[in-house]
Amino acid sequence: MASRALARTGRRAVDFVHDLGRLTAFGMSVANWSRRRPFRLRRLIDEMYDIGVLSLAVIGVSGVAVGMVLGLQGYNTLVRFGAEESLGAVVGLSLVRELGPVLTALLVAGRAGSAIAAEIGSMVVTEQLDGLRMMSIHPIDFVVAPKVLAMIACMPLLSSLFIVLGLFGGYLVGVVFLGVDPGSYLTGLEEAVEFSEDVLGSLIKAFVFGILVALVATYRGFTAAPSAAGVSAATTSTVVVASVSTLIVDYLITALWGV
Amino acid sequence: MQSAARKQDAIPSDCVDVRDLTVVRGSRPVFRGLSCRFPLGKISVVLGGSGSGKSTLLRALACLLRPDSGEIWLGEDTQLCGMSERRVRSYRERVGMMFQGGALLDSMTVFDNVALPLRERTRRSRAEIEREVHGVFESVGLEQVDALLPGQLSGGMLRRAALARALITQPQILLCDEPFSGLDPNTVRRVESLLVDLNRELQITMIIASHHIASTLRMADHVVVLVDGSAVSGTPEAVRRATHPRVAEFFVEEAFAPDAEQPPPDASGPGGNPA
Repeated sequence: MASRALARTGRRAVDFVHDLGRLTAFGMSVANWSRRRPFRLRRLIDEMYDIGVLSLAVIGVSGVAVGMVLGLQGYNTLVRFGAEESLGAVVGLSLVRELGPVLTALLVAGRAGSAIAAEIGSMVVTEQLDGLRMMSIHPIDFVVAPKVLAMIACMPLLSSLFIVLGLFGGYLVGVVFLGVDPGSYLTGLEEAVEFSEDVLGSLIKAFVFGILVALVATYRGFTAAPSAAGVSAATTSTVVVASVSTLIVDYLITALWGV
Repeated sequence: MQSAARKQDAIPSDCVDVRDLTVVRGSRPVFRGLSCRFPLGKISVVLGGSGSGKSTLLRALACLLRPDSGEIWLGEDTQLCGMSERRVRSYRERVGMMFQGGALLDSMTVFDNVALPLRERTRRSRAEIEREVHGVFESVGLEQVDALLPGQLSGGMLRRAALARALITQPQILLCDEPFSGLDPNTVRRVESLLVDLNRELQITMIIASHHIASTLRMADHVVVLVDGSAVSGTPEAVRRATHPRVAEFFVEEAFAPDAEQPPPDASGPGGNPA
């Protein structure tokens, strides 16, 4: 009984390492194809529209909502110590350093990542990728690379938008609804948030999360079993793996580089 | 070395030669030690029931799967199994494949799908590409489909669009996976006569996976029947008269299948092979 459980654990560990190796090889192949000509600008713009523009609504609404919650919770806590004037700093630092890039990555993984995995998975099922191969067009070049590049380009932009709208949400609750002085809110924000450390770190995080979500989504779609169940499993696994690995990588970046 | 040279000497120059091919999916062998030949410049039809390995054989011929063992020779000098990725790409430039479900990119219009290989592989101008695409549309009998998406086409139109994409680069070898399945008898005849005409005019080698007996008997020059993981091959008449019990059974079963198309009253198909 125990030996069977041990064998199962060992098999899973080996599968995990194997999968990680294949993901790395896949990522290298994407990087290799991304720098080759022709640059597929038209496809890149289309993908940026799908990933970026179509995510605007969910990012915008979520950003404002998260900012409002932060404003409310921050105010309720700070007011106990008579430090409600620091609300701008609390909301700003929370959003810029952590919540902006992380929540954006989670939302984009759920909306665009799952869509990418499903799209590529269904291309596997309907032999569209094999059709490309038969035309001597590499699927990574034509399908995967534009999606990965678009995701990498869009993630920092979406994260920035999330942060800006979050700051607005915090301002709305703190200043407009709860009466915090607007000057204090903005001054606290300006003094607390450093461009070189906080803003740049936030953009780097968003960039790394963009790579992570894009690679997980495209890899899962690309290796989906050629069946409806396979596509469904790839989609689910994209959201789970991309979300969990985003949180883990966020911790690692924060712990190692302090951003 | 010497035996390899001797072996190569025996490879005919005028056919695609499949030798001792073994493909295993999971734990199930699709075929083990399959050997058969497809003459160049002729229409060969691969017959077999569902799951007999027709599509798998076609995919092996297209280098879309790596067989577990065996060799596929194209003429005397090209061994398809185990080629480098670069050589596979170069080989595929000479091969067109029509997939069972069409395999057209559903995010692109039919025109863009068919024009794609020309845009990717040639330096032709926009006007030249447009002229060539419309030329191939005309030859497969497609009209006013330029701006449609593949999802907006009927089954027959989708297959013809897939055929147009396979033909646009003027391949030397055309692989067709079930080109007649799900088509009405009139469309079957149309696709059939189109393939025969192309073969006669351009000497394209065609290897067609099908379980459509009537079409096979009308158009094929050479038939390969896959039964129990091995192949029985010859001219359509010879295969029809084969004594192999599973082959005979297959022909009888298919002839009486509810959706089997009846031979035409004039009994002579576009390929000139009497049914």
